[in-house]
Amino acid sequence: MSEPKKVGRRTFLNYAIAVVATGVIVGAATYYAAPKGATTTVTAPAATTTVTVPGATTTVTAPGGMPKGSITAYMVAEPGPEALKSILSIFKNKTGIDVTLEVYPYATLQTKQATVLSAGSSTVDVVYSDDVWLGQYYESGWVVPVDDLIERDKNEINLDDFPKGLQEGNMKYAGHYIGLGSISAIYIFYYRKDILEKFGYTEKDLDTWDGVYEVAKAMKPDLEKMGMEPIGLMGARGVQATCAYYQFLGAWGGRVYDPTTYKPEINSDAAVAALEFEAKLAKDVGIASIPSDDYGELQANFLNGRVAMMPAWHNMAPALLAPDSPVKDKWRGIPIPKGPVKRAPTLGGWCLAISKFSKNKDAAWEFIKWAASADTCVYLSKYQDMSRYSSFADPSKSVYANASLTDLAIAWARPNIPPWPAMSDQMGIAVNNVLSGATTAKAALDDLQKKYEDILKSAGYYKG
Amino acid sequence: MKKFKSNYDIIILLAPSIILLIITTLFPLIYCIWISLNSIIIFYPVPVKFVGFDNFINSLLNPIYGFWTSAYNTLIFTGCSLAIEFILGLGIALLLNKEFKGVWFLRYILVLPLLISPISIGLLFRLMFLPGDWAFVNWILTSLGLGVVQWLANPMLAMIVLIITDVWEWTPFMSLIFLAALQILPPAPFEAASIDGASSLQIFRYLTFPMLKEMMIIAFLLRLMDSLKTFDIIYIITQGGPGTSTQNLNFNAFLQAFTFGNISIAAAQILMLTFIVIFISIYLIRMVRERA
Repeated sequence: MSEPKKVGRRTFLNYAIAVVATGVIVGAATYYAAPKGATTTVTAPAATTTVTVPGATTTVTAPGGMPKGSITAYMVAEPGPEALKSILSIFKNKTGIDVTLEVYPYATLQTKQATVLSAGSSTVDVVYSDDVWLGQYYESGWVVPVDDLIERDKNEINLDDFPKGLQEGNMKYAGHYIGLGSISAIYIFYYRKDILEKFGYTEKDLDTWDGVYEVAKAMKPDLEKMGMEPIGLMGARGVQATCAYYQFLGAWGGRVYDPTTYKPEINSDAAVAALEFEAKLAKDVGIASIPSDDYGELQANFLNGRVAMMPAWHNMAPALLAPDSPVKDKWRGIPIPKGPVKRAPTLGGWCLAISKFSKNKDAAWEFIKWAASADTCVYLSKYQDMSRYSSFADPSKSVYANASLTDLAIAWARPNIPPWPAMSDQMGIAVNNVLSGATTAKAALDDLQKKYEDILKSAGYYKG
Repeated sequence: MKKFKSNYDIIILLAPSIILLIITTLFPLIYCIWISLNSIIIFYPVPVKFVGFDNFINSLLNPIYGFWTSAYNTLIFTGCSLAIEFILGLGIALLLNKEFKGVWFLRYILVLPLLISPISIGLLFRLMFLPGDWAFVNWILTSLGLGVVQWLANPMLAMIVLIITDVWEWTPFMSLIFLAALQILPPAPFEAASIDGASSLQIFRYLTFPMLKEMMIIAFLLRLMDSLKTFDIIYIITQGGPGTSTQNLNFNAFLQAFTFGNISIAAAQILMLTFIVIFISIYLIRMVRERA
């Protein structure tokens, strides 16, 4: 057997240099040989396409001159956007625009969008803004106001189909339209009609928070024998703990800060009393998992008959009405109970907006119009409620639609100034700490007050 | 071996690696230091300004930045999980060092947790410790008549869940290192000790333990560096809650950067964590060298 031929160091280096040099020459030649500045003209199909949406047949005509290309949109991982994913081919057939729709959980979505947008990246064309992020996105110059586009396409959009409260809370900031409303979110109060009737109560007994507490306390011993607890709440650290507390904060007459001076008021007597009541509700008559329950857990608790009542977003309702829901015909939605001062249902919701850094803004706007159109919203509302009146038209929604629209008229939005996402997270931690018994309401809110002073000062709002 | 013609040959050959090293290692570190010395909030329009060491001082003095709470949580998590992993790992290694039927199978099984991604492990343990009586752990407890425990709603229990997860994931790593070390120990001293009538405990106390010490320090060091930087299982299982009870330094820095947009504070905290890791590592490496 012959000995393998050894390659010397010099020979090896020569070969290596030759290979690298060849690569560089071929690469450069390819680069310079490629046509520069060539324009590709693609004509949008002017064909008429008939598409069938499960539950609805829509005939759409793709007009000539439609923007082309592909865009990327981010949305939150909730039932509505998930359902939208499954009908993207309709939009593609209609416009020829390819949409990559990426959905992320709430916290991840904000992290992802804020990181991409603050870097000025064109990775995403359509962003999904929670109502409380609008200020941050607008003030940071990450999104393009769409007043002109809405005015231009007003007949197609039919702005009157968007409730005024949602337009103000979810679609506008500083007097400008930032985008079109998508998922709507208003707090309502859910209760098990069969259970309350069994114990001889009616929804009138749930008109105030004190009433809710009394009813819950009276039912608790018997409910426990049935493997049930009276109340469920979202108390897990995060945005949902903030939203749940917010309804109590308003009902007790508290507020986050003075709107003119931005002086934080989160440790006011009203704010402390509101959190003390929430903690009492959770401790005395709530399901024990409240400090770790988020949107999904609370929904599962109600669906599976583990709780008899819950204050929660109205957009949870479609899942409770679904054909396979174990509580399908057993529940009702009523307006949020009144506190010592007023009813204060929390307002939330989402808006589809165009990224300032998008290289295909026209296509992004076409997608937004389609995703927020009445036809699409009606289809999506089988999974989650959207921001149009027409998404409430389905007769099966009558068990909660009135409560939703009543609460919408009086709903109060959380602040949407740019530092709010950071403040919201701190509020979520404080509320969660109190609900888990780690601290008292007074101590948690005194601590939060100091944090808010710091945040608002560093953001240039509170002069101190 | 043929000598290089000149120093230039060496420089030319080493240059690509050195440049790559500077780009991938040194530049991010310098950039991180630069960020930590400025005030940069990426999520809303505040002008960038040079603030010197303010971010380090604020992190240490202002509770809003959660440094000390996170440091305390890090200490509890790392201390408890490392101690358990160390003892369990050594015990398992001693057991698997013996020859008995099926030992090869147990050695294979031991590697399994190391092959699963931390995200999957986090998800697995989150599902096991969920509050309902249908979740695995609570199902066992209710079957035994002990009732449902709110594992993730209680600050202390949530920390215990994280420690259990980390122990399950990383004990095999400790075991493998100890097992490898045990298998290369010279047999002569052990045979002599047996002939002299030493008990198993005496053999472990006076032979095995001293001979394994260097390897123990190395295993401890590797796990310590990793444990201080734990992120994935916290993100999946508790998100730092309830409250801030399971928020470690790494997770806190992540929140500062990507929830609050305060990347300067995050950079300052990450640098402090890096210095802590480097300091402990140097100390432990010195210990190994001195012993060697």
